[in-house]
Amino acid sequence: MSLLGLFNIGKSAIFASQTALSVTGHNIANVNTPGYSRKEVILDIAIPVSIGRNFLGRGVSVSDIRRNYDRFIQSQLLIQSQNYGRSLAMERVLSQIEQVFNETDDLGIETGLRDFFGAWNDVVTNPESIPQRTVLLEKARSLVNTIKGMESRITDTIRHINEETNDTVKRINTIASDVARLNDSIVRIEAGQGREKATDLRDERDRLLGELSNLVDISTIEDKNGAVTVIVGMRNLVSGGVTNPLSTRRNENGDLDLYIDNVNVTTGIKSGTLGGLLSVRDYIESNPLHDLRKLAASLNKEVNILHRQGYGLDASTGNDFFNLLSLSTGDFSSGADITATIVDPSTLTLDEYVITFDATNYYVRNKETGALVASGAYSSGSPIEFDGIRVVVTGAVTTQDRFTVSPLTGAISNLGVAIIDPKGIAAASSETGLPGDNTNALRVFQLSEDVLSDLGGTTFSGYLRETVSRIGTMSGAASDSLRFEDNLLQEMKNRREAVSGVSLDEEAMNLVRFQRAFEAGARIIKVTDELLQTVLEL
Amino acid sequence: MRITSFMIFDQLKRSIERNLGRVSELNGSLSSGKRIGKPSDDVIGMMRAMDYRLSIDSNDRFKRNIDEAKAHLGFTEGVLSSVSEALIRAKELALTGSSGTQDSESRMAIAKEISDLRDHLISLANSKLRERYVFSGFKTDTQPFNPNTLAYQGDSGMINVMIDKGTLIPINVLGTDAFRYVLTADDTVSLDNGKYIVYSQAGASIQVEIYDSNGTPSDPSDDTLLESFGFSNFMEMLDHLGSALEGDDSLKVQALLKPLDLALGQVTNLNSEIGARLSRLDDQTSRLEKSTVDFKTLLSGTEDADIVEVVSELSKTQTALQALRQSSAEFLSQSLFDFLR
Repeated sequence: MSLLGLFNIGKSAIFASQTALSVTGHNIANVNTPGYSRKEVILDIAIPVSIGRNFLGRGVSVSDIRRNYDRFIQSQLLIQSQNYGRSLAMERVLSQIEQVFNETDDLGIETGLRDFFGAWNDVVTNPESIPQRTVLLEKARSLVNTIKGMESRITDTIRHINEETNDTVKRINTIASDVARLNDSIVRIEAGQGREKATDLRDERDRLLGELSNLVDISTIEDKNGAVTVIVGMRNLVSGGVTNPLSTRRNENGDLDLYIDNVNVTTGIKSGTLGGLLSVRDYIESNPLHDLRKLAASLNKEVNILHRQGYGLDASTGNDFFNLLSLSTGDFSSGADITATIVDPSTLTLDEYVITFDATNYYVRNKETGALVASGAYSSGSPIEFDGIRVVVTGAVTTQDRFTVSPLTGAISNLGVAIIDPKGIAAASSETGLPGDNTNALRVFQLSEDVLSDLGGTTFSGYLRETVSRIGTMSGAASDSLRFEDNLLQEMKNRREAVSGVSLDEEAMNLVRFQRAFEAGARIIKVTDELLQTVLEL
Repeated sequence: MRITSFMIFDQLKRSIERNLGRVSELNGSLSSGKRIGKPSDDVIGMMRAMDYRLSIDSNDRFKRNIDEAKAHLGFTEGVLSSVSEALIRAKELALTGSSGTQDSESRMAIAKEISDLRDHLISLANSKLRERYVFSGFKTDTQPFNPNTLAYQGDSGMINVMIDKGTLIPINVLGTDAFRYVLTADDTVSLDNGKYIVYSQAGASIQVEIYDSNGTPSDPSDDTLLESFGFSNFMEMLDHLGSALEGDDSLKVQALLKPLDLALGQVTNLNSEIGARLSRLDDQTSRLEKSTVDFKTLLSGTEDADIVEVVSELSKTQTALQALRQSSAEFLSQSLFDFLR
């Protein structure tokens, strides 16, 4: 072995240390980069040469720059991000909705209801007094405004959810195309290498997948070339370098459904921000919004039924106190039309109905109980009557056609106080022009204590209380679950950090270690140089 | 487990956030004085609080109704006391007038006073509380008795108000009850001179017939009807009394003594019934007040924050936060680099 070989050993030492120093530098530089995995230089003994009977080392070589990474932790982190994203979205929306029903201050619907019935009571004690009657109209209008305000806050929230759904979908598509791009790069770089060489790109891709799983529930499969397939709702969002973007479409209820490749994947999306948004939207529509509308519809119906029977100071009778409930219809047919009217408010159930058809017959089902309320042979234009409602369907129908009839959809938007003249308030129950007759007002007042079958056998305030308690429980559960998922996510992140994170103290030590190694390598070259000098001077 | 810079930083950050959150929550409780700021803070407590508030509110409403009822009934009681005083005076005058020792001049004076009493009764019967005639049933805008014809113009409507859940109490008295009495059976009063008087109910009015038995009280067939008249309210009764005194008709005056007693009894009974209603209202008021106090205590216990506890919790959290900040400041600023020079 020649002296020049010693040069090579020195060179390999300097080179290895330099590489290690730049990896350390890279680690330090990325100490705060999200998703970064700590890199480590793997040094190998250079293949020795045989000299006579001995083998002599030829220094060191850098065999690999390894990425400290645990695939199992990473996949768990993805799942936990999805749960966290869902909880966060639900908690955020539900705490807003909860504020709509917050009765701790004296401004809510509870106070409105109390004041409304309190005003009726004041009419009971002073039936002939115009001021008391005016106050009643004022309180009724203010109750209507409170209810309308609450509805619009809820519908605004639903609108925001839909907007946020769209924004989230856009973000998902951006990330998906980034992942596809990274897939391409990784496959190209690692082609034929047989190991995970594109370390930083992989870090970046993992970070993006982490962000993606926060937004929507995904499952990922990595193929042998290093490309990741991202699956959303059984469809490929990303496959190799190709993205199939997620898109939204409005469904028949006016809500957004999600599509990939023209396939509806809405039901497959359960977690992530998107899953949380979808499920909280459905919850709001079927619970607080529905409950509030039902309460308003029931108040409208019950007060009107009694008010119609009474007489005003001006001898008027048969009038509604609130604007008459109106029915909303949904037309999911190819060519038929529907009109619906209330014929008998007293038998109205305040439930929603669905009308379907087979070859010859129509079927009317109560959407809430599922009970069949009417059926018979269909003939265009002939009225169908059930539960106080008359429906007329005209035109040819097919078995795919469907109509909905709901007294609730417009229950709040059409709500208003129909009585304008305080004299028109029907406080009297018999004869005309009896100013001291308070019997009907008393009956209306007693409504506040009545148990109503439309409201599932509770009073107005009882129903409101149940609604508030359901929302409170739901919101409380959402915030508990957020705290739980957050802790779990944190735990996962810590476990990932423990493997992949950069410790500055550790890097400081490495820095010193490799600096010393570098210096020593340099010294070898210097010594070799001196040896050569010695030889040359012979 | 490897501990990295990020883990330490993140943990400190989260701890500080958690403590800050708690401080803000406690400050919220402190500023509102409430333990429950939104339903999810304590669903059960919130439901109870809503229930208590509803009960307190309806108690207040019932108390307002009771005040209104008391005003009406108290007023009516006062009016009826005046009515009974007037009737007592009329009875005295009738007794004086029927004693036979009076000359025509003093009888005329008595008759004049009776007429005044009658007018007084009319004005009492047409009393108004605020803009409301109290004796005319539901027709509160109509005079119960026509001052000229003395006919009853009201109806039989009872104005009920609610003084408790499901408990109604009428706040008015009908003119037909206060200024009229009803005989359930015919009544005969014999006088010592062989004459007798028959009182009977004819529709809404009391019919008075004075007979002479002509010496044979056992045989009604030979009796002769001396006089007959009827009245449908106390005012008409006093009319008859006045005219009897004017015409020196002592028999008729005598015949009116019993109706005067019955009228007085009717008014007295009515007044004691009103008294009973009023004392029931008083009982109800104190019951409601006690229950309101109970509910308010419960409400406060349910939703009010325990200020002492909140304040001590707050200072505890702030101390922890302070310590955390101090240790973070030291911890985060140090690393091995500081010692490698």
